[in-house]
Amino acid sequence: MAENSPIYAPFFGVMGAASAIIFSALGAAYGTAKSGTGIAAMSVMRPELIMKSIIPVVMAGIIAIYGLVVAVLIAGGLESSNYTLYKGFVHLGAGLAVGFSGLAAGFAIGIVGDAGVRGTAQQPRLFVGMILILIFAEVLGLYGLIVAIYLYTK
Amino acid sequence: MADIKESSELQVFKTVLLHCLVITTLPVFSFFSSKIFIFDGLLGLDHIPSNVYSAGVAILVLHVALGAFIYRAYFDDQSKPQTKRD
Repeated sequence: MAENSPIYAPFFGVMGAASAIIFSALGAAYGTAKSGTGIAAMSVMRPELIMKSIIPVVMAGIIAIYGLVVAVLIAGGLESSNYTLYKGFVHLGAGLAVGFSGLAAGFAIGIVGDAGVRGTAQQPRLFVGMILILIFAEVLGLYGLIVAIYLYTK
Repeated sequence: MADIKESSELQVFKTVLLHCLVITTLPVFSFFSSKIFIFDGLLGLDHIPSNVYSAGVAILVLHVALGAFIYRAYFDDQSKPQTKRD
């Protein structure tokens, strides 16, 4: 066995794949739950707006898909032999990048979705603003995905 | 009156369900199908580039589906107050 591919090197890659999906799912769950309470409170009075107000929930779900993509990529790159320690560190970094970016984006989507959905029920012109803010929150997760894919190709 | 309300609610449910199914399943499907059939099969790329390109395809498909859902939600709800008025 070579010096730079020790027996414990795949540990870091596996932890990278796990943390990619764990933290993204944590952020997506918070976003779904927080904006879900807003939708539930709003649609008692304005049930015709449900279709519009589902959008934060869908965007929170997309955060989890980012984590899923990176976790699948890293899991595809794991090997039982000739897996260098450098590769393990790079995979851990990629997983942490998309995981914590997804966590941050999920928190932002949850808080914005809750307030935005409640506000849209009273002033429908707020909808465009809510969509824009949600897209900017979503892009935070996309940046993490881009960095993770760039790290993965190293 | 009640029939119209019922059918429109069913219509909304069908639309949301269709879009949610498309958004959740289509990226995963397009990731593996583009990897197996296009990048590995047709172009014969290496392990890492084919993975990265198929991830790019999946993310692109995901955002197109999300854009379609936002477009539908934004422009579809205009007709509803008219059906309620009469």
